[in-house]
Amino acid sequence: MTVAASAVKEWFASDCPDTSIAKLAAGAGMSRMTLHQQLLRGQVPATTVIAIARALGQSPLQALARFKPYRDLVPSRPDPREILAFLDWPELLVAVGQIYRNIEITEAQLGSLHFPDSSRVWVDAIDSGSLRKAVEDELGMASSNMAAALRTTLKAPLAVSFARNAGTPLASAFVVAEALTPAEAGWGPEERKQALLALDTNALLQLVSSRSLAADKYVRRIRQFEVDLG
Amino acid sequence: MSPTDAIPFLVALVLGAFTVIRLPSLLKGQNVPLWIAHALIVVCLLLAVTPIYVATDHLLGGTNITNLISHLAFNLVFLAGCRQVAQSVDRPDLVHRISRGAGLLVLLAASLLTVAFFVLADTPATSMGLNLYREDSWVVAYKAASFVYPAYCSAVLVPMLFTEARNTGTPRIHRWAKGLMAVGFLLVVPVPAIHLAEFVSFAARAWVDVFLYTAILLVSVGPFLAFVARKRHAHGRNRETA
Repeated sequence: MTVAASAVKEWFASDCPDTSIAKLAAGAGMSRMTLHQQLLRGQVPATTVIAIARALGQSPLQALARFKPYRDLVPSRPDPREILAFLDWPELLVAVGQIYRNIEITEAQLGSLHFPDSSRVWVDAIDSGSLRKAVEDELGMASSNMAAALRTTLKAPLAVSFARNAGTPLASAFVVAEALTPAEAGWGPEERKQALLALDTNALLQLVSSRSLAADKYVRRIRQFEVDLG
Repeated sequence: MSPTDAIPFLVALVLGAFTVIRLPSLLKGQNVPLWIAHALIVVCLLLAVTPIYVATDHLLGGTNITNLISHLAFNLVFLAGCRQVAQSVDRPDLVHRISRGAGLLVLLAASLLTVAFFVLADTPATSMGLNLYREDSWVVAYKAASFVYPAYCSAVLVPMLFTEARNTGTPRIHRWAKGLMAVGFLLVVPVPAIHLAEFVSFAARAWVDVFLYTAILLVSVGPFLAFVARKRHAHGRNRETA
């Protein structure tokens, strides 16, 4: 989902009238040509707006929320359904063990929010049954392309479509797409730790069970390469 | 042995070694199409060595039918090999694009064109690589057509392999295997165009060998690394259970 170039130009004119395109592009870590082309084509990706907002010292989320497709984008804490999808299974197992043994856990020990297969884990977490199909239909995607997309970091438009269809915060979709940091999205500093501590033992074990099954599928898929070519 | 014969012979030796080490798997019925692809590519490479080509073609009547067989076998190598590569990364959509639907259509059309151009070309006497007849337009068209399906399969696999090679969640040896295969397959994509460039510059033909032999080596290292990873994995498991 892109932003109209005319609106982006208005933003530049009002917020940084004396800054050249070359300087904005350099600040955003992109080539001048790329930014020029995006403006000429009339469509600017959300990730470009975010990068330029950071370069200008503005809140990327608020900058993006100025534009039409993202007017509903507000800083938001993660949905309880999704927060524990931002945690890989080995860290989850250790943390659940510690909680069961009454050993303190820290947010830092929960590791990176992004890990192999994290896109699929997030979609599984927010999918109540027919989410994939709804997004495929909305975006006109073949299910094979969807499967391929879920193996890598989700692109922002796809993550946004999942969030809109699932009713989860739009801000989190940009975290999934690695476009916004959790702090930029409006998350608290210890969201995952708090979410884990809020669950009782049965809920923790159910979570471990479902994530173990998903991890098993993932590991089998990785090993398939050796089985079929080795 | 001239360099033009030595290179395919050396590449055949490497691929031959890869084929031999896979014999135990073949005997267990594992990855049979991949073994066939290895064996066929070794045959194709050996047929690119002049004395072997001349001897084989004389046995087959001395009309360069050996060259045609070699090119058609190369298509089969890509059918079996690329299908297996797509399957190994759990991409049934790519398996379909390679071996069914459009893929099958490309394979059949390219093979028919290859045969048709070969028949139309006038190649009466045995000539390694049809080098004596390279000024014949039908020969150039024949060579280009024979690489259309390999180029198609390669184009199908390259984006996926580059993406997979960047996936930091997979073991490093898998990423190397996929990265090398990606580069190798990428080199196959322009081969039909390079052949067609012979219409403009005769010197273009030299680049085909550079691209193809490099591609064959790079692509074959991918399954070899997968083989090593599988053995290491099995060895690790045995050690754990010992």
